[in-house]
Amino acid sequence: MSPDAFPVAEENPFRGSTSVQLEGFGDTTQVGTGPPRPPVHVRRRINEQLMEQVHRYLDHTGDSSTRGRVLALVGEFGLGKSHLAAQITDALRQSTPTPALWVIGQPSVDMRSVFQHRVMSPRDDLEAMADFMQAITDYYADVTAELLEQDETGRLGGARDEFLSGLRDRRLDPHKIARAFDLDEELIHSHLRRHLRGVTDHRAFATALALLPNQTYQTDIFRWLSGEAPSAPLQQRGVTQPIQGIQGVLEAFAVFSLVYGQSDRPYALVLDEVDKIVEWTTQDRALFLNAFEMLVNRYINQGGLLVFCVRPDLWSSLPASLHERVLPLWLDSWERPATEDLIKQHLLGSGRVPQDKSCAPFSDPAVGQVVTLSDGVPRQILRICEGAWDHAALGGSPKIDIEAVHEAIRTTHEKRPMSEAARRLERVLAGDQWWHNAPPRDLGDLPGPPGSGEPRWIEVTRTAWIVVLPVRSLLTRSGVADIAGFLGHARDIAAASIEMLVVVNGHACRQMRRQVADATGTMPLVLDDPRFDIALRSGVQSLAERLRASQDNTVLEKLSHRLDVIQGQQQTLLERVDSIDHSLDNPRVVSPAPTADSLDERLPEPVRALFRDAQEALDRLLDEGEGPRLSLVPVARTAAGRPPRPRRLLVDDSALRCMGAVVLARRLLGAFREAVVGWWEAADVPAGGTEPAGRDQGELFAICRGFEISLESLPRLDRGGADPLSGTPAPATNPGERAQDRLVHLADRVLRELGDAFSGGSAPRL
Amino acid sequence: MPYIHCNMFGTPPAGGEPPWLPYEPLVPWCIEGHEDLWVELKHVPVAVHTFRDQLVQVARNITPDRDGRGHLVVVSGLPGTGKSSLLHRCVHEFVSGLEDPKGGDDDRPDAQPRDESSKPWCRREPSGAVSVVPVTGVRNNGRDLESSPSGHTEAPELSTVIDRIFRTVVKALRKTPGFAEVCGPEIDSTDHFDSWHALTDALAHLGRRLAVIIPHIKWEDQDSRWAFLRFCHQKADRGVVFFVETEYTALEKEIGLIFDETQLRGVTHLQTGRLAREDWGRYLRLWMELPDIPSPKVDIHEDLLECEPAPWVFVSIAKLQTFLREAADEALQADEAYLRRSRIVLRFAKEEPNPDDFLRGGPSEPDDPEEEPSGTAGREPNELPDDEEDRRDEP
Repeated sequence: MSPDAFPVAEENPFRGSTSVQLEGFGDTTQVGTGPPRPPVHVRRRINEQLMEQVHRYLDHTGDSSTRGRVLALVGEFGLGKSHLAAQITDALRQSTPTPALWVIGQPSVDMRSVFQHRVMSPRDDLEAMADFMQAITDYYADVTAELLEQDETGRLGGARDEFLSGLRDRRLDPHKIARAFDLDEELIHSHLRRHLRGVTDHRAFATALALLPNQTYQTDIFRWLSGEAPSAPLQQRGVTQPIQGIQGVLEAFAVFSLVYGQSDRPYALVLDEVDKIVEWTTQDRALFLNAFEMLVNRYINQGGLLVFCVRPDLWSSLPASLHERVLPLWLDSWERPATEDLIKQHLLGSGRVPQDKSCAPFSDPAVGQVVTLSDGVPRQILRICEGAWDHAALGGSPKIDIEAVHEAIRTTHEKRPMSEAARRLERVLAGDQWWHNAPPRDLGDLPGPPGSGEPRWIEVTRTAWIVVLPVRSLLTRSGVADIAGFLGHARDIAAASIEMLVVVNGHACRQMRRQVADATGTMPLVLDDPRFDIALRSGVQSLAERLRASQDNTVLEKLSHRLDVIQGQQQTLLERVDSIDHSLDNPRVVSPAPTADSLDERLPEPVRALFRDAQEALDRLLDEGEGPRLSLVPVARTAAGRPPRPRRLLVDDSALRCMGAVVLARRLLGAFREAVVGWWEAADVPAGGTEPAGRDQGELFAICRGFEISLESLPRLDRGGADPLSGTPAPATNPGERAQDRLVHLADRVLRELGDAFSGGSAPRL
Repeated sequence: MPYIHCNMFGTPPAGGEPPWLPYEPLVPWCIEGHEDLWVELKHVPVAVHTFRDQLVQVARNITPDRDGRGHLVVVSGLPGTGKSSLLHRCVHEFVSGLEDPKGGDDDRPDAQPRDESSKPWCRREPSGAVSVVPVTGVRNNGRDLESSPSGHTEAPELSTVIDRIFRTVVKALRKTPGFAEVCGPEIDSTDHFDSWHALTDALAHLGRRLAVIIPHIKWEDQDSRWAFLRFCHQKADRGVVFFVETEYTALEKEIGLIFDETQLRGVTHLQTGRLAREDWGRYLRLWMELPDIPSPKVDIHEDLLECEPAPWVFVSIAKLQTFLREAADEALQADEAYLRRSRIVLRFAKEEPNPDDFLRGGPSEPDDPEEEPSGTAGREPNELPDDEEDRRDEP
C-alpha cells in the first residue's frame, strides 16, 4: 500500500521524545537499527541570532580577552531552549579545532557527582589533556624565563636573549631547557606554584596545577580534576579535598577557564535548566548565584563562551550585575509558518514528501487549530500532531482535520475523569472551608454547560456567590459561549452577585483563556497546572473579597443616598426657620410713627414735652448722623481722558456703633414711653373713675430706674463725650451730644415731674 | 676504527679497570685513590672547611652511647655541581677522622702517599668505627626511593620514603659482623621509635657510629621537604650522622626557618656552585699529573691551559668534565697524541647552546637520552651499555 493511497497509516512521524536532553559527552555513534532520524531544525530568527553569536565567538581573531561572551536563552517551557542549547553543543563539537566543551544537563545540589560523572574532564579527551598541559607549560615557561633572566652563570651562552624570548613566545620547551641546563626544578616549581596561586586565586588548584609538569603527579591530578578524591601525595601537598559542592565545582570551571583562556583556545560551558535552583534552599541558591556570577565574569574576561537556559521568572530575579554582562536571547511563540515548517520537516523525515508545499495529510484548518491551540509552543505542536495522527490512523481517515486535532488534545490532556477533578476541587476548597455550601435558592437544579462537571457554589454573603465550574478542554468559541450563557442565566435567576471561576480539566490555549476571561471576568484555571492548588485558593479568596467589597459598596451607597435626602430636608427646614425668624425680626409695620405719636398723646401732660424733646433729638441724630455729610459725588477728573473716579466712603467701627446705639436708644425710648403710658393709663381704669389715687409711685420709680440702667448699657451717642462726673455739662452743641444729654436726664425729669404732679410731695430721687 | 672510551676525565670504578666512567661522584671512603682525583675547586675548600670546623666542634660528642649526639649534613646545589662528591668526601673525612683522630688537623687528610704495593683504585676495607649506608648507592640518585609501593612512578610520599630509608639501613646493618647478634627483636617493630631505638642500641653495643647518605628527593612541596629534613635531624642522634643531598637551591633561605637556633647547632649546610675561571687550569693540571690512568688516553697539551673557556662550560664540574672527556675522545679517534687548544676552541663553537634545539612539540619523553637534542651541553655522551650502567651503583 503506497503512502499516497492511505497516508495516515504508517509509523507516526511525530512519535518520539519532545524533550531534548543535553549530553555531557560528545558521542556520534548511532545505537540501534535503521537509519538515524536527522535532527529537525526549524530556521527562525532566534536560531540565526544564536548561531551568529556562536560563530562570531569561534571566528574571533586577535586579543582573546575581547572574545568572551555569555548568552542566556530565556523562554518558557517547551519553547526549545534545550533544543537550541543542543544545537550549540553540536556546532561546537563539529568545529575545528574542537573547543573544550563542558555541558551540564541540569545543575544539582550534589554538584560533585554531576562534575565527577556527567561532565567532560581532561581525562576523557586527549586533546583536552594536551591543552591543559600546554597551558601549564606556558606558565612554566614564563617562570623559567624569569629565573633564567636572574641567572648570571652564562649557562645559556651567547644566545641568552633568544632563549628568553623563545620561552616567553611559547616557542621553546621549558622542560627541555630546565633539564639540559641543570636548573633547579624545585625552585621553578615553587615559583610556578606561587604564580598560579595569583592566577587562579585558589590555593588547591595552584598546588595541583603546578605539579602537573611532573609526570609522576599527572594521573593523580587529572583524577582530582575529574572530581575524585585527592591521592595521598596530593593530600600531603595541600590538596586535601575533592572538588565538591556548588561553589567548588563552579570554581573548578572558573579555573579551567583561566587555563584555557591563557592558551587562547576557545572553550565553552553550556548549562541547561538553571531553573532547578529555584527548588533549592535559599542558602544553596545564594551560593550558586554568587559562584555563577564569578564564573560569568571569568568567562567574559578570559575569552570563554557560556550559554545557559533559564525561564523568564528566574531571569528577571537574577541580580542586575548579571543582567549587565549577559546577552539574553528571548524565545517567543511560534507563528504559523514556523509551525508548518516543523510539521513538514517531520513529514519529510519520515519519507513523506508533502505535495504543493502543503502540510498534507493535515488539512489547512487543522494546521490553524494546531497553531492556535498549541500557543505556539513547539513541544505542544508536536504532541498535538502526534495525537492527531494517531486518531486519524485509528479512524482510517485519509487526512487529518480539526476533529482529529481536537480529539488529540482531549486524548492527551483529558486523562483525568470529571469525578477526579471534582475530588481535587473538594480537597483544595475543603482545606479553606469553602466547600460545604449548598447552591443558592432557585439555582439548585440549574444545569451546567454541556460536558462540564457539577458546578460548586460558594456562598460569600447571603447575596453573593462564587461558582466553580469544572469544564473539559476549551477548544472552540461555542464552548466559551456555553459558559458565558450559564453564568448569565444564573445571574438572572438568582438576582444575586455571582462570580465564576472556570477550572479546565484538560487543555486551554491562551486565546480560549482570554475569551473566557472576557466573558466571565475571571481567568480560567487549568487543573494540570502544577500550581493549581495555590491558584484556586487565591482565586476563590480574591473573588470572595471582590464580592464582599462590592456588597459593602452597595450598603454604603444606600446610606449615602439616605443621608443626602435627610440633608436636603434639613436644608429646606432651616431655610424656612430662617425666613420665619427674619419675618419676626422685621414685622411688616406700615409706619411706626403714628404709634409713637398716639402714645405720645396718651402721655401725661407734664412729661409729654420731655419725651418729644428726646424723640426729636434722637430722630435728628438718626437722620443727620454725626460728622460731615456723606457724599458720593465722584472725585473730580484729574487728567484728560480718565474716567471720573468713584468715591469710596469709609465707615469706621465707632460710627457703626454710634448708629446702632441711636437705633437702640430710640427703641428704648419707645419702651420707656409705653411703660409710662401704661403706668399712667392703669390709674384711669377704675370703674369709679373719681380720683386717680391708685397710681403707684414705686412702679413709676422702677420704670424710670429701668430706663436709666438700660441706657447705661448702651454706648454713648456722642463719640466719646464728656466725663459724666466732671460736673455740670456744658450746653450740648452737636446732635449726638444733645440727644445724649436729653436721654441721660429723661428718667430723672419724668420721675420728678410726675411725682410733683400727683402727690404734691417730692418723689423719691433716682 | 672501533669506538674507544677515553679513560681521561672519567671516574675510575672499583679496581680501576677501563673504561672509566663518565662523570660520576667520587667515593673516597669506598675506593682508594678517589681522594686523589679531588680538585680543589674554588668553592670547595669553603664547604670542606665549614664541614671540618663544625664537625670538629661536635665530633667528640658524636658517640653511639645513650647520651651521644648525632649530626645532619645537608649539601645543596644544582645538578652536576658536585654535591654527591662533596658528600662522599665529607663522609670520608668523618670516617678517617674517627679512625685516625690526629689526621683531622691536616689540611688534606687524604694526601698521604699511597702504599706503592697496593693496587690503585682498589676497594677500601670497611671502617671499623663507622657503618656507612648510602641508601640508594653511591650515585646517590633518589628516583628509586620515590617510586610507589606498587612499583609505579608516583609522587614521593613522606611515610613511604622514611620507611624505605629505615629498612635499607637495617638491611645494610645486618650485614655488619656482630650486629644481628646484638640487636633486639624490637628492630622489626612497626613503631619507628622502638625499631630505631633497637638499632641505635645495637650500634652502641658494637661501639659503631652510623653514616646514612640520602639522595635528593624531588618533593616539589615545601611542607614535605621541611618535614623530611626535620625527620633526618630528629634521627641524627646517638652517633648517627645523616648526609642529605638536595637540588633545592633556596634552602639557604629556609634552613633558618626549618630549624631553630638550638637545632641548627646539629646541622651543617654546605653549598656547591659554578666553577671559577682558575678552576680550568687546576682541573687540567690534575689530570696532566695523574698517574695510573689506563690507556687509551691522550696527553694534555700546555696550550690548553691558556685557553679561554666558554662561560657555559663553567656552569658545573659535570659539564666541564663531560666536555673535556668528549674532546679527548674525539682527539683519540682522530689519532692525535695531544689534546690541543684548537680542538677545544672548535668544540666551544660547536656546542654553543642553540635555542633551535629546544623547540616545543619535539620528543616528549624527557628521560630518554636519545631523544635529547644532540650536541647540547646537557647531553651525557657515550652512555654505557646496560651492564656497565649497573656497575656504577656498586662501589
